[in-house]
Amino acid sequence: MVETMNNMVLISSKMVVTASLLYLLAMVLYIFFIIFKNKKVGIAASVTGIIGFSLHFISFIIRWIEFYDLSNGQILRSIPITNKYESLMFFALLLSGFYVVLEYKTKNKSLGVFAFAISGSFALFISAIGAPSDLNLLVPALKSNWLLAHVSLSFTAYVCFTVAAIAAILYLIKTVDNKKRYSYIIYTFVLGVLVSVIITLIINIILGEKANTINMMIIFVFFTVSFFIIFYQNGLSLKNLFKDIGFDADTIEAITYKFIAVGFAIFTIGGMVFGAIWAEVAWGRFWSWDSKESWTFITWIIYGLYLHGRLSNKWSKELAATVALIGLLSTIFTFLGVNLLIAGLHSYGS
Amino acid sequence: MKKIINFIGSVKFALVIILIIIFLSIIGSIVSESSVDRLKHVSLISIFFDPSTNDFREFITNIGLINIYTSPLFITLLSLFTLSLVICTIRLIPFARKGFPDIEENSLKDIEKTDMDTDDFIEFFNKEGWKIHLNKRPLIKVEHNRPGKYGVIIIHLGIFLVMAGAFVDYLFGFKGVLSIFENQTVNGVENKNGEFIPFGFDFTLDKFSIEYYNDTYTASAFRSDVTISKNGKVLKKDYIDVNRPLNINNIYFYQADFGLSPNDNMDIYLTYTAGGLKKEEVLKYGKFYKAGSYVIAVSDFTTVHNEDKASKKEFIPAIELVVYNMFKQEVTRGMLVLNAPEPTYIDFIDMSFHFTDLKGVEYSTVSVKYNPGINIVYIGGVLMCFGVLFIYFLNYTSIVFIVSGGSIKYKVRVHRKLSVVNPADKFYKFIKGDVNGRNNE
Repeated sequence: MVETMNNMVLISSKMVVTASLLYLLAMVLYIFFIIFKNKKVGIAASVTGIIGFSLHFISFIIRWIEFYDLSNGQILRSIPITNKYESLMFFALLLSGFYVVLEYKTKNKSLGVFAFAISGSFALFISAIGAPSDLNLLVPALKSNWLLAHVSLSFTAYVCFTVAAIAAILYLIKTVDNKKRYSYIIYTFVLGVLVSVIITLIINIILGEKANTINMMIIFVFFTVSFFIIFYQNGLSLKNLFKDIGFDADTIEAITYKFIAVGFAIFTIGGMVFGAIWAEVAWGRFWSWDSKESWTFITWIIYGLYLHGRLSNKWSKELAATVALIGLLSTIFTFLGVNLLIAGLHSYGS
Repeated sequence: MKKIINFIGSVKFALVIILIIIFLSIIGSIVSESSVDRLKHVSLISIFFDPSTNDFREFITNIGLINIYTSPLFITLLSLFTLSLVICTIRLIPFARKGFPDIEENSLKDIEKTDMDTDDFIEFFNKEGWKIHLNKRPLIKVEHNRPGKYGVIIIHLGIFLVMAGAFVDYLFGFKGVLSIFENQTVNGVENKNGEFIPFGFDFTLDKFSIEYYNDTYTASAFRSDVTISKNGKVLKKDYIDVNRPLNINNIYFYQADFGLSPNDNMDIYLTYTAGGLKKEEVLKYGKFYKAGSYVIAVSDFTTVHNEDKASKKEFIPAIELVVYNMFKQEVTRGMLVLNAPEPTYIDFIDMSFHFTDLKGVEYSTVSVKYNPGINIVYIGGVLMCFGVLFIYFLNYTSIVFIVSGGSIKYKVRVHRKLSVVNPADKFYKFIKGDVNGRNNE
């Protein structure tokens, strides 16, 4: 690890903190917009989110340039997505970017609450709690041009699946009004998991080396169950909040489908195929059933099932949205759970 | 027989197989050869299995979960999944060849008024790159993104080839691991069954080196310089690095690991002064050597943390040297660090010792693989990439239409009803501007 942190990297980290605050401010403004339908608040929310994204993007580029200098001018190998801090930042950046584009395309702000809540929480807490934001020198295993192709495309796919799941949650909030429905249980559970993931992540970073797998699992399960109960009890009241959001249920469902379709294509190419080629080059095994690979396979299969079910028109939209949420759970575990809970070949920079 | 084929090719069968594979994969990602001994300490498991024994490992082994991914059950499931995929793919071929079947005029349900004639529409479709079929005029059929019909077949074929390549590897390939010292030569490797597989050439490790980033202990490269020879004749001198395997006659050598391993053959270079005379001796571990009026021997080997960052090595070798009198009675002993800045002087025997070099102790671990199915896997991977692009971005679309009496009667059929790209959109705009909510068959 580089001993003295470069000034530009420090500036970049500060910019990310500012961006994170802006994301959370945007989230609050989006909530106000949804409740009060005030146009000016809506514009303020969008502008805040865009400024936050722009700052985040600039900080990413600064980091990339610094990394480029550090790695002796190899641009493809210097993309800053090589450890937990950088990968979470990249995920938050892509999620905000995708949302900004989505809002521009659909002229609808209702997904902003979820998108900026996730982006802001990820980016802010990783920064604020002191996860090392220093530039890491690349270990030999990561010195490959496949880094950019495999890792960045995998994260892009994760973001597509997250946006799809946000839309799926919104669809189920709008359409399900019975607490006994399987879809209601699943979406309130997923909301519980999302909150729990963020809290567990923070605690994991606070505890540092003291965090062991068993404790983290207990903490995760505790918060998941607690928030699941809270969301299950109060979930139907969300329906009123998102009653008049401008999107009809079918449009939201189509967003889920399109993001999964695009995400699946990217995941197949970047996550599965490019990853396998890189593994063959680096380790001599294109597939080793490493825990990350196993969960990548599981996630891929779940979204493959979703697409088969959805395209054959044999599934109801409710079932499809529910499977999209199960896919998100698998994605979260593939992205974070495997690195936090199971050791394996993909444990770089954890 | 037909019933069995239909059953194996059915969606329900595939779904059940997939769900079992997912379930076993989840177990396999948690329980493995390396994790089973850690898992037995988990509170929940330690209730049932004493962590101080191997009971949990034996239980897991007995129920076949220890190496789930290579278990006969898992291989069988993957084989059945592949078979199901093949049957499903074969069933898709007729549609891929013929596309949407022809239809008659009375099936054209959508009607729009238009002041354009047939030639205007033909010109439009021509410009947009549609394939135009005029053989049933006045009924005209146009098709777009025809390769999209093959998308599912291509991706299924890709998955099949990946599986097939993996099976070829499983049946005809071999894997092994070589831990080899500098200047050591080997001519084969043991596979996982302990059988010796000859390379057909000699493989010599000339040098193993670690490169570091400036002023850090962070390694930037692990490199093994090797010589490939046959019957004493050098065929090639090359190097292996992480992410840069070496291919010799389709046998691949990968840089996997490295380390220090004290052994009886390592050469310990020691310089000492006795009676004002400076001498150099190459010592072997545990053997006695005369040094002036004393006898010396190396009794231990270890590594110590290096405080000098300029040397770039975080840990450096050290030896324990024992000095005996002529009657082999111990006089003194102490640690000597490799390349210490100054020799170690022992005043009561008036001798100084300097550990100057060490050879034959650093080894490089190279994984060796002969992988005859890898090109099949690569082709499968490429097909998977093309397949997904074909499916989602080449949405096969067919329009049958007839223009007469100031109106157009048409039917749009799209392969992917929920498409990322819908080529018919431009047609809708062409006939009537943006038409939302139109039902495609």
